[in-house]
Amino acid sequence: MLTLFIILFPFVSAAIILLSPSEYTKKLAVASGLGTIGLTLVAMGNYQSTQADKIWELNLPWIKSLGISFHVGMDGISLVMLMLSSFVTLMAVLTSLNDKFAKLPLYYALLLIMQGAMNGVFVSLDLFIYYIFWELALIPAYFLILMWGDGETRMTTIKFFLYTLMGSLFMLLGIIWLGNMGPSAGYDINTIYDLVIGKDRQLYIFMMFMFAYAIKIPIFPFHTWQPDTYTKAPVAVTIMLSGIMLKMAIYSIIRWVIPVVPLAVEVYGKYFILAAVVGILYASMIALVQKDLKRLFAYASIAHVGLITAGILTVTKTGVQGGILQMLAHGVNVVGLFYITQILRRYKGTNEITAFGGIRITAPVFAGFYMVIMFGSIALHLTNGFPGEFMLLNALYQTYPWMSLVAASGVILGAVYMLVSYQKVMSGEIPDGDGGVPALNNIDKLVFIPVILMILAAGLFPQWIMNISDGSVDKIINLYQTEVNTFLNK
Amino acid sequence: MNAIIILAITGIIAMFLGVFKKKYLGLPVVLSASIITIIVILTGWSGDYSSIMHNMLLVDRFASVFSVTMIGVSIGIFFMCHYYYNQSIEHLTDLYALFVFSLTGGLMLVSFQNLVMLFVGTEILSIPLYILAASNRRNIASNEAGLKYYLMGSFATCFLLLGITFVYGATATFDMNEISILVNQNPAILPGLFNTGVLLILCALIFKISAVPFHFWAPDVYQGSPTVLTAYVSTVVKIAVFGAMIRFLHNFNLMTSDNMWFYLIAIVSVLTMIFGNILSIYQSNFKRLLAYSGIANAGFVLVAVASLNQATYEYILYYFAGYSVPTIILFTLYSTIKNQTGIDSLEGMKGLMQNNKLITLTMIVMLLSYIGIPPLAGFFGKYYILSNAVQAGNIWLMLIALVTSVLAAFNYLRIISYTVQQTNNAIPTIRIGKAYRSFLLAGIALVIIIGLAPDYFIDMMK
Repeated sequence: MLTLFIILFPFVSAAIILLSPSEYTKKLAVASGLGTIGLTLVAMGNYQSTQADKIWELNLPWIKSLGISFHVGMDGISLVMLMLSSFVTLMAVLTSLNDKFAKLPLYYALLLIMQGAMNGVFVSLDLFIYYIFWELALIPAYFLILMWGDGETRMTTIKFFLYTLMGSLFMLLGIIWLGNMGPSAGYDINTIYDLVIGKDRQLYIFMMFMFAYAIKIPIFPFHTWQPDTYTKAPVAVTIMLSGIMLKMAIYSIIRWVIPVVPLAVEVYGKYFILAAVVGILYASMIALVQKDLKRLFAYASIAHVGLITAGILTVTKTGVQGGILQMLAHGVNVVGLFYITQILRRYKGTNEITAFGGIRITAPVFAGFYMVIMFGSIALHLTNGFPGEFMLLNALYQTYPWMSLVAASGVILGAVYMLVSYQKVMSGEIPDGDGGVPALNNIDKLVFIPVILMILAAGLFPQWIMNISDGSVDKIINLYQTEVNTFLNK
Repeated sequence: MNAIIILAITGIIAMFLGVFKKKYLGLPVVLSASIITIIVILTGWSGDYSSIMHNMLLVDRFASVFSVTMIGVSIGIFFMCHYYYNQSIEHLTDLYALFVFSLTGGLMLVSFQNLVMLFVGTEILSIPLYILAASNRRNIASNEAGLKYYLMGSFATCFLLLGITFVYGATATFDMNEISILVNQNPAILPGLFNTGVLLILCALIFKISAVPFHFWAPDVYQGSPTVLTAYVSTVVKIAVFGAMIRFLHNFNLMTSDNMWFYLIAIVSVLTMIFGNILSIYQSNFKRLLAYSGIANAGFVLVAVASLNQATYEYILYYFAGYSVPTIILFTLYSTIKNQTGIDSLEGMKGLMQNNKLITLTMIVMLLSYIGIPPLAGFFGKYYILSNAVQAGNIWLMLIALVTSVLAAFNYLRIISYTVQQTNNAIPTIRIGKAYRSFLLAGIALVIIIGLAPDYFIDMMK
């Protein structure tokens, strides 16, 4: 039942927000964010990572003739993702407290609906239910960007929607195919995992699924929707998109691709690793020449998630665990990074890097926060970016050494563009006629302090997170190895 | 059979209501008649399927579920009539009568067992529509639509008759059972005349569902006709003709393998989806866009026809149930907006949300259902048709359907993105009554219910 609560809680909160008078909107939204964190913590308290069983499973038959049931439950990986999702959502809610948006109740309601749908993705144990939540998460995102984004959002959002819809539809085709492959139609996770699928079919299904994920993550060369969308979306939505929504896709690779079509991953996974690694380099180089800070962070995001995807597709324990760790780190860091762009924009009305300078002088606390977040993002030791990135590169080195070389140079470039942009914005002289950025207000601190704490905590004690997902990752990798080995022994 | 008689009598009664100046009785009479007809069909649900009138009609389960769906959708159309005409016009009851007559034809069409009945059904279905298309007498576009529809329709009728004649020439009978025995026994002895005949009959049916290459009449007729008729043509008429088409193809076992009929239907389907969706990108008029999307949808349903098996008709009916509700509601919204503000372009929808929350919400939900967002009705309609294609092994057909449905989504998103935009000169508040409000809410509820319980609806048809 708890799983159901975790899905339904944001939806119910959204409904309450829409029905209550608008002066309570912000309080209710924050309360809802705290509530989901509470529920996730309760779930985590009940979880024994050594057993790695699904907890709080719920299996209600829905469409019997198609073998679809409302089957949800949580294991270690889901729990980590839920933790991320509830943290990032709360942060997204907090970041928009300063904004003066029209139709505020609708705005917060859509944010929460998005969270509910994404929580649904993380706990679904039925492929069909999973697809429904996956698709549902797109709708609020679309309206949020369309209605509260900057400037001309019409065509940007249509591009975003169509791009992801295209991917999703191909995944739907794969899902229908998988569901009809057995003796009777069925989409339950156990049925799907038990399917014996020929090698050719595995390839087709792998391609259909990966097409959807490559767009959502996005992996080079399917990334063209991302910079525009991230730049034009309101900051809270950018945070939701890059903090949670793209993790949906990476999580799905772990949950629905690696155990379902292992042979295809074994044989053809390297092409996606190649694309991802090329993407790291490509996105880093473009980030180097960006003039807009938000756009720079958008490209940086492509580079980071490229590494995560590459690491996970190696299907080694280090890779998958590192990927999970890094997903968490990236989710936390983007909250900070994109919020920085919002603060800068609030004072200057722009995110052009050249418009700023010398902020360190007038707002030293802000500069300090920025520095820590940036260190997390470029994976300095003792910050949350380091253990994950280390493990990912390690896994990549063990499987494809030369690719890890490319990826590592991308990481170095990452340090370059981050430091250069920091220098330009924060240090140097204050431009003429500029009063400098005033000190942070309380809401800003409310956003930054948890982020900083998380960055340090995850950097110092990564083992704590890895312990949660450890058993579940083992299970998935075992499934994968058994099937690959049986095939190789034939 | 009783259903057809009841509906025909209702039509006559409705005409006489006009004579006796009892216009206000029009809606209650047709509604109660529709409900009675549904009950009559449901009571004979699992009765004997014996054919009627010397094997002219066969009221089996297939015919029954198609009839019930058509009457159900027509109820929505009657409500829409009520709002559309607003009691202001003189001959309202005549229009109800024409709709009922056309519906009668639809019922005959889906239960035909004799090629003569195919012809008679098609004509009874169509002739009232020609009149209805031109029923806005003072509007030049409506007159044009009526004339165009009539001329093109007559042309299709010629095809149909010629086809029936050819089939008769090849088999010396009109009876579907006897023909299918001949076809199944030894197709080789049938003269080429038979295939020509089937081709011509299919052409006529393809014309009626406005699929490529016989789609040219559709946009003009859709745009010019009264909106109620447009909604009717794109829902009930299509259901009826698809029913006839499936019956025809299934009876002859024409779609069993990768034969030429499969390729014919598949190619028509692909062309229709591509043309319908690509042409709709260039439309700026709301109604015309819906017309083109109707064409594209016909193509989508043809994917299912091309993958015909025992269960296909259930999927198609489910699809149409999920398609008809948004269609009727969208056309109703369109006509309301057009009547009160005179706006009928997509750009004109800018800022609709600012003053009309419920209308915008309804419109968005309906369009999302068109796009196929789960768990709305349109999603499972799409799902069933696609999974039917997968089971038949027509993956390539399915891929094309997927890609074109992304194109379709573009068109619907265009409308959605206009409606929520902020502008300074937004559409003023549109006055809608309580009944209208509940009509819209019922539409939303239906779309969600049909989407949440697909199993229930499919089981009902079994």
